[in-house]
Amino acid sequence: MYYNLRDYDMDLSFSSWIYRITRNEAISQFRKRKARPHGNSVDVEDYVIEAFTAEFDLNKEVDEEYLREHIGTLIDKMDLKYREVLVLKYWQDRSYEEMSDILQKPPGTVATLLSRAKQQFRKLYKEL
Amino acid sequence: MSDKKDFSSQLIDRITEEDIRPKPQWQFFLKRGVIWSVASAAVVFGALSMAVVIYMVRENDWDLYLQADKNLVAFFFSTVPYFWLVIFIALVSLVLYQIKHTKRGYKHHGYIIVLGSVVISGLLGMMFYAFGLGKAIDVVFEENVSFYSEYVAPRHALWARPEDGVLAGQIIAIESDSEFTIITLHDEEWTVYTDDDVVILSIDSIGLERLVRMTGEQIGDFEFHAEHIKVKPEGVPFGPRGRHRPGNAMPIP
Repeated sequence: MYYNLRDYDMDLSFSSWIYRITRNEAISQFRKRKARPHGNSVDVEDYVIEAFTAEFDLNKEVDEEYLREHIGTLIDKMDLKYREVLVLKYWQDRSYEEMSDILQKPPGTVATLLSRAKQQFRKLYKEL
Repeated sequence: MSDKKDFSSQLIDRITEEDIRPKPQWQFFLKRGVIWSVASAAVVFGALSMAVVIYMVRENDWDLYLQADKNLVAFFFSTVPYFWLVIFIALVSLVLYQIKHTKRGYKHHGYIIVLGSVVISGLLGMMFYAFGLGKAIDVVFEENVSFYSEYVAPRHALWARPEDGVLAGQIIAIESDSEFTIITLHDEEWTVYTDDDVVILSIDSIGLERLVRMTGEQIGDFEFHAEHIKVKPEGVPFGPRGRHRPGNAMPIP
């Protein structure tokens, strides 16, 4: 990151730029080690659960606790490309534009990915 | 918090101790310059290949072939310039790859980049064709690149089927107003007869060493009755490695 400091694009937010480099580096490390990221290592804060409950139209009292308990398992079961956008959206609270900069995909593609990620999450939630 | 502070201090210490410096800015400029230069060159070369495609399609003499009442669909597929189309597709793919690797390339959908590249190369290609570059490239390749000459051979062979009423060759003798001799792609000498009803489908008129494509009927051994004749513009090569062309009338054994 420090090496590439002079390549920083002032039009991007600094955090998006750092996030992008870190993500690319992580992917490249996983590829080098021929490993696949697995296991839930994300902290589930209250605002994440609230966002999910609102977004997926879940019952606040009944589902919130259940979701808190199982969200890690659900996220872990998802395809990496979908998991990534859900984390960026609900954990990181990133806008479409920022997600586009981080994932280096057109904003339209990010929107499609997010919509499919929600579908997959909904399906997995029902199956659980 | 303390861990974070430790990590920051460690980083700063390491940067200072090992005298690590960010890469100079010119390296990034150079990288970007190379990406854009390759993309631009690919667009220009794509335009050149498109100029050859346009030339080859137009050079097909559709109007003459139509007169022979032949299967135009089969004719079309046997004369599609696949070689140049493959090169064109490869260059468009290169443009896509390069643009995607520019700073803001990821913002655009692939199909938009492909479409833009095809449109720009297409328009430039039309301009290059109008300046005669399509023909020039085809001639240079046909005369100097053996595999290319073999590749375009079927295009010429299509016009060497007298039994089907189509024949082409170079005029090597003019006996009278209604009789001349040509040498064909297969180095055969054919006598061509015409009558008052013959239709000349070109501005150029029949002359010694000119290349002609004809439709009509085979009337005997090495004898052809021409109904429609198209005299090719000067400078157009004909036959393997363009061996039949004005100034080079005699076939190479």
